[in-house]
Amino acid sequence: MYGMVNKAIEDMVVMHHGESVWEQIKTQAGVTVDVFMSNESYPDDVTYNLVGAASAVLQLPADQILMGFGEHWVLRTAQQGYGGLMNAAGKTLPEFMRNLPNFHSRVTMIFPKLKPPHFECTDITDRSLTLHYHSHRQGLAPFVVGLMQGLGKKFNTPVTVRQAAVKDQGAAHDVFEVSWSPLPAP
Amino acid sequence: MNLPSPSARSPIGLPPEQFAAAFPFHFALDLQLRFLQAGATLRRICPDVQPGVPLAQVFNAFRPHGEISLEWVQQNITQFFLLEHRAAKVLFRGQFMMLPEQAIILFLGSPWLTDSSEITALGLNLEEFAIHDPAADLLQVFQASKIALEDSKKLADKLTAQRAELRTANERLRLQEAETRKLAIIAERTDNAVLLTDAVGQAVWVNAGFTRLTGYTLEEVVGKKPGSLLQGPATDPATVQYMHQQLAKGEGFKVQIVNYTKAGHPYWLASEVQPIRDETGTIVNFMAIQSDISERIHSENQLLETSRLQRAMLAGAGYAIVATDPQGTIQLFNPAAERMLGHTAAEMVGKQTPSVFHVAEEVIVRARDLTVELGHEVKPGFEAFIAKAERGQPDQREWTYVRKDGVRFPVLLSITTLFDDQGKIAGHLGVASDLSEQKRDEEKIRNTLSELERFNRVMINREQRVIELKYEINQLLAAAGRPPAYPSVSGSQASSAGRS
Repeated sequence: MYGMVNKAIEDMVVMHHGESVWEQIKTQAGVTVDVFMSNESYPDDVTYNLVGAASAVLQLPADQILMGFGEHWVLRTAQQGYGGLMNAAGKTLPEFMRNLPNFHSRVTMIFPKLKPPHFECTDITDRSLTLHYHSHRQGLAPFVVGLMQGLGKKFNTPVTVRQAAVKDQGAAHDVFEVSWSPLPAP
Repeated sequence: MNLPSPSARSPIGLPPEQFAAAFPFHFALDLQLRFLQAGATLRRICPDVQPGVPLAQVFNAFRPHGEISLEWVQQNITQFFLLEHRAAKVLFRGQFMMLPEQAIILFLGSPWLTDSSEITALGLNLEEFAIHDPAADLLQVFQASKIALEDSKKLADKLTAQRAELRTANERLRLQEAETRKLAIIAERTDNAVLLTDAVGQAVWVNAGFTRLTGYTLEEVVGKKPGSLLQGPATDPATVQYMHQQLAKGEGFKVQIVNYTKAGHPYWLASEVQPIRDETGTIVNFMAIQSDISERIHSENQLLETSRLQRAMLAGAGYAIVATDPQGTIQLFNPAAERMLGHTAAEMVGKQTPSVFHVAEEVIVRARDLTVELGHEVKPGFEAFIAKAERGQPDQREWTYVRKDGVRFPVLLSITTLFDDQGKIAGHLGVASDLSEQKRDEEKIRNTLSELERFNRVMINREQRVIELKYEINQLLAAAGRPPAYPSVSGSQASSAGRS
C-alpha cells in the first residue's frame, strides 16, 4: 500500500493520542519503519497490522478506526498533500466526485508500482450518487464510508452513506449509495 | 510540426466550438502578429487579448530568447515556446503553427503551472483544461515529488537528530560505563555480600564478600534461588513470607534474618533488596546488599540482658537509690526509696530535687563545713550534697531524711558523681541506707553495758565483803592463839581491799 496511507494513520494517531501511543502501536504491529515515504509501496500487511494494533491499543473496533481514518484522509492528509488539486477539482461535492476517478488514474500513471483503488460515480444528481469502489484489498469498505463523510464535511454537504453491495459478501465490488440535502439555490 | 506526417493523410477540419473545446488556451494571429481570435479560457485569464491587439503588447518572449517578431517565430518553429503574459505573469507553454494558405499563425498551448494552488489563484478549475492536456497530470507529479521531497527532508532531519542523539547517548554510555566499572569494583571489593538475581529471583552474580560470608562460590549459586541455599531451621518463616510478598510486588525491602553458611553455621544477616528496572520500567534484576550482623545482635542481646539486670537490681535493692541530672532534678527513684520516703517515683522524677526530703538546717550546716573544708563557697542547696563527690571524692556520711509524713530518720548516704565518656558530669547518684535500726541496736548495747557495769559493781562489792569477813575471822582466830583459817587473806590485802 501507498506509504501515504501509513503516514496518514500515523498522523491521525499522533494528532489525537500523541507520539508515545503511536510508538506503542508501531511496536505492537511489529513495524520498524521510522518515516513512511509517501510515494513508496509498502506491503499491505503493514497497514492492516497498524490498524489492528491501533484497535487493540485504543480499544476501538477496527471499523471505527477505518471510518475515522477515511475522514482524516480527506480533511487532513489529502488536503495537505494535494489540497490545490482537490480545490481545483470542484466547488461542490458532485463536481468533485466527477473528477475523483482521475486522481487515482494519475497515481497509476505516475507510480506504476502502486495499485490504487478505482472509483466510479454513476447516477449523479443534485442530491445523490452511486459510488462504485473497485479494490483488490479486503475489508476497507468502512474506510470508503469515512472518505465520503469527510468529503461531505469538506463541501459543507453532510452525507448519508449506505452500502448497497458488499464485495466481502460476494458482490462484484462494493457499492455505496451516497445522498445529501440539495444545496440551497445560490 | 507544420509538415503533414505520412500517416495523417486526410485533412481534418474542426468546427469552431470543438476546436475551442480541444484548445481552450489557443490563439490565432495574422502575419503582423495581431490577435485574430483566442480560446475563451485564455481570454478569461488574459482579458487584454482582443482582436487587433499586437501579440508583443500583451506577451513577452520568455523562451526561446529574442524579441517577438515573425522571424523569431519562424526561426524557432521546431521548438516549444514559453510566452509570459505581462499583466498576469502567467507562462503559456505551446507551439506555433504556420498556416500559410489562410495567412494565419496558430498558437496551441496551455498555462505552465508548477503549483496546483495556481489553478484556483487564476480562477480556473481542472475541467477547464482539455482532457488531452497533461497539465493536471504534471501538477499531480509536481505535487507528488514535492511530497517525496518533504518526506526525504523529514527523514533526513530525523536521521540527523538521531545521529546527534546517538552521539549524546554514546557519550552518556561512555560515562555510564566508567561509572559502572567503578561500581562493579566497589561491588566486587566491598566487605558486604552483594547478590544479583534475575527478575524471578534466581542468582546471576555474587561478589567475593558473599562467598566470604556464606561459603558459597559464584558457580555454586548461579541459577539457584538464594533462599533455598541459605535459609534453615532458625530462619523466621514470617520474614521469608514477607520477602516473597515484596519480591512478587516488585518492591524493595530491608530485613534481618537468620541464614546458614555452607558449613551450617547460623548467622544474623541484614539484607537490603532493591529491584532494578529497565528504561520501560520492567524489572530485570533484584540486587541484595547484605551484611553479617551477628555480633551486633549479640551485643544488643547482652545490652538487653544487662539493662534487665540493672532494672532488677534497682527494683530489688534494699537501699534507696536516687539519681539526678547535673542540675539536681531527680531522674530515678527506686522502689526502696519510695518505701523509705513515702513519695512515689512519679511524684519525684523530673519534678523535684533531693532537697525535698532533707532537713534544711543540716544542709546549711554542711554547706558551711564544706566551705571551710574546700576553701570556696558552697551554697546551701543541692551543691552541698555534691560538692565533694564532684571532685571525684567519695562522700559518705550520715544525714537525716524527712518522710512525706514528716517523720525524720537517720540515713547513711553515699553520693557519687557520674561522668560521661568525655569526663563531663552526667549526673549524680545517691545510695542511702536507713540507720534507724542500727541506732536502736546501738542504744540497746549501751543499755546492756551499763547494766553489766552495775552488776559488775555489785559483784565487786560482794567480793570485798567476803574478803573483809575472812580477815575478821583470821583476826579472831589469831586473838585466840590459833592459826588463820584463810591464809590467802593478809592484813594488808584486807586493808587495801577494804579501802577499795
